[in-house]
Amino acid sequence: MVEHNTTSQDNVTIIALKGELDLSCVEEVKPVFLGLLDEDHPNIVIDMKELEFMDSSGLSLIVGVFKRVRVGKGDMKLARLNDSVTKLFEMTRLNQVFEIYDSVPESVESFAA
Amino acid sequence: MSNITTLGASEVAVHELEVESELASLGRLRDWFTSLCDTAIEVSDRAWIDSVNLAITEATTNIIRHAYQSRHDQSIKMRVHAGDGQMTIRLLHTGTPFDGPNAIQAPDPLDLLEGGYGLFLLDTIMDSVSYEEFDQMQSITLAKNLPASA
Repeated sequence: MVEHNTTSQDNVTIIALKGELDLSCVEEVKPVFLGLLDEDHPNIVIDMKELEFMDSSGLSLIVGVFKRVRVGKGDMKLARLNDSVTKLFEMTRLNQVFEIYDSVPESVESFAA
Repeated sequence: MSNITTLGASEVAVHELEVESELASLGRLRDWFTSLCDTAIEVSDRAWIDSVNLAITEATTNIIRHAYQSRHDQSIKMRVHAGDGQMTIRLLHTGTPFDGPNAIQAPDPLDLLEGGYGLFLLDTIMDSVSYEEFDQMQSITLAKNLPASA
């Protein structure tokens, strides 16, 4: 089960995920992301500090949202991945594609750079 | 549910959990496996446990979606035994058998694929993955050397 909390800072939407993201709950969390894609230039940070587990279906969701955000001339960045989620990105080498930050403020500031 | 089974000349502890073929069982299998590692098998390497939990999730997801075609009323048994420096996990089902992939290629990250990572992760994490018949059921059998601390 995964919980989510959405906040905004400096025109960046921050989505904090908490719990375990697998196929049992991907469909529940998907609308949270898809709703943001209607905006112009959506800038999104996913805060994963409390995301304890993610499987390939969660990874596929993140990749899908990232592609659509880019089409909308926005960007999406990731912050505070734990060791197991970091490993998932390393194994799939998607850490070479995503910008990953150690803190949320750092990730938000990166949009202004 | 756990029990002790004697295999051949040596006594090997075989731990078993049976769950229904629903996606809610994925978390239950992970919780049970983590608890098993913490107690009976005494593996303390958290990264090792997390990675095997990911492999269990990917394999079980395939059973639910493909072998059982998302039917929720079927059974999946997970049998775990550890011995001689190796852990073997059997995920047993009675659904459509898998042929098993011929060759698994690493996805190109620049392709930004929205699927197809599961079998690659399963193959990357485990030392071996086999698809076979066992006890009149279909088995996805995962094996991995135990961490040095176990």
